[in-house]
Amino acid sequence: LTRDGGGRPARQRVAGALLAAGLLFGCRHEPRAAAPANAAPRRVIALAPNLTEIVFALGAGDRLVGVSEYSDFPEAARTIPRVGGLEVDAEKVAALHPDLVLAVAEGNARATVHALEAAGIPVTVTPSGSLDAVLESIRIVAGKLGRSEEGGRLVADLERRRAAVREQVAARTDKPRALLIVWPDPPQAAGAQTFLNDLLTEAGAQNLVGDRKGWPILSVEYLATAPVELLVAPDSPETRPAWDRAFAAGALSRGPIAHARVVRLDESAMTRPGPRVFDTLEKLAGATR
Amino acid sequence: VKAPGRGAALLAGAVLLLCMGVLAFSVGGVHLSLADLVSGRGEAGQTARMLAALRLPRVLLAALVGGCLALAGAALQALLKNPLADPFLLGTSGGAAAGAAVAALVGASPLVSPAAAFVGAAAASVGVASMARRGGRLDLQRLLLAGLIANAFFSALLLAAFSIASGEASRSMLFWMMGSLADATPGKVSALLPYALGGAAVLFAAAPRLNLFAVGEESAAALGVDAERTKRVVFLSASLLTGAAVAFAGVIGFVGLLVPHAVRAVAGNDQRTLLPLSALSGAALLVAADAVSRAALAPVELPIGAITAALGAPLFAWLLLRTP
Repeated sequence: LTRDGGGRPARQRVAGALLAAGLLFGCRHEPRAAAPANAAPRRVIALAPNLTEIVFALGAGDRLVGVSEYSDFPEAARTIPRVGGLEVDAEKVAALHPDLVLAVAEGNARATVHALEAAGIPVTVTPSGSLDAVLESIRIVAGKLGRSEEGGRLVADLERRRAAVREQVAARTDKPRALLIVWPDPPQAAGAQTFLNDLLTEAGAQNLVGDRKGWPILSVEYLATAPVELLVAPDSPETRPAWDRAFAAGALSRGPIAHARVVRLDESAMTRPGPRVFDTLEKLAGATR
Repeated sequence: VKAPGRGAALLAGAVLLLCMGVLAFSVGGVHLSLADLVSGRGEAGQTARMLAALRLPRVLLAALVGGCLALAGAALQALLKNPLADPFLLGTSGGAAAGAAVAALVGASPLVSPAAAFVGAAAASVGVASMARRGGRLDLQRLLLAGLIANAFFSALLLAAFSIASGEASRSMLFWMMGSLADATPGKVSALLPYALGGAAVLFAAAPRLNLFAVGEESAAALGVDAERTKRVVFLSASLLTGAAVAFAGVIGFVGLLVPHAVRAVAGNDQRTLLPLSALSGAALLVAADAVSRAALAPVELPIGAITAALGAPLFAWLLLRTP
């Protein structure tokens, strides 16, 4: 789910320097009153779609002045100015005068975060790697927005639904051997210490690559022979052709995986570590039975 | 070192390739039972046959790609009398990679990318050759510089394509840029075969003339060699081999540079031995590297370009240090 950009650090150092210079000169005729330290931020930028969703779920969507490129949920997020995709445009972020920038630990480049911090913009980085981290992210964002109460209620509700799913699958004895493939070419699966591994196992399946950390790219030979009974994959109109190719003649067309039960779930609700991942959990638990 | 006889050297190379091929066919992340494969009975037999159907084209493709790259490197080194000459240095692989990246960017089907890579390689070769031409002659110094220019241009193109590609397209693009034989199919093997054989035939036939080149271009001309024609033919054949290899396996470095050096250290500088032996050794090396990429971290696959570089860099350093 991450992407390595060769020239990224250098480019961002330059961006950071430009940004710093811009602020230096901008400050003189920008006597914009800085919010008092303990006031809730009014101008928030979310650097990942799941953070956008969290801010909206907390009822603070109207405070977003900038969002990442793929922030398309809820509908109201589509009209908010974009500040870049995986590569964040630091100048655009600064030009929007945010008093809070939200970033994710996995996916946003550390250099971007440092550049923004160096420019004096408060940045909060949310954790990833588990469903617990999703809930923790909601709590952190709620705290920063001064909406701890709403955050507590949302987290309690999600925890309750999560516990219900856990109870629902606890009695099951034959948990299907499963893979959750996030991208078909090259085939990349959710492994240990990812929130999608939690999603898969809490929904009552065994992750066949649960002993591999991160997002392993699996070999064609392994996929052709692994005893897969359940295949979980994200679904979106844009990525459907790539999946169709993999199912027809590619990595997912041979051996047990070709006869496995396939569960396709809405991509944005599944692969974004936000509140909707718990909707997906309920759906998946129903499908693994 | 006294060079061994040509027949003995080539036989040794062929045996090496055969051993590597058998070894690579029998290892991998998933165990392949030869008994089940031969019997073909039951579920185990079916699984073994399916594995063999996946692995055999992969071993063959690795051999062809490794052979193409090493042979192209050996021929360019002889032609340019420069030990640094390599398809990568001359911009051919860069052109191929850029061609495929642009195709992915404009949303062409992945099936088109080998063709696009090939067009890119051809364009790079023709561009570099015409930049290097001065007064109707292919100037060897200028050829290296033109390669440098082409590389700078193509890496700019690649980076730009990579930056503006969508998340999905860039993921496939990255994998391809690191080099991979994971998508090997019998169709790809048979598509690469004529390029490999054609390029090899032309270069093997040019080997005696390349030997005269080693003495000096003027003496070669004095002995009746059409120097310009030889340069053109060798350069274009090497580009063809590289473009075809990159088109089917992505960017795999170091094979074209390293293998001819290693072979020269063992078997001497007679191109009639060096060229075919480089092809055989390059094939054996890439077959072995691909086996490592499949087996080392199974079920995860390592990018083969990383393995050839990890093997190649220390070996190259050792060769450099032991040469007085």
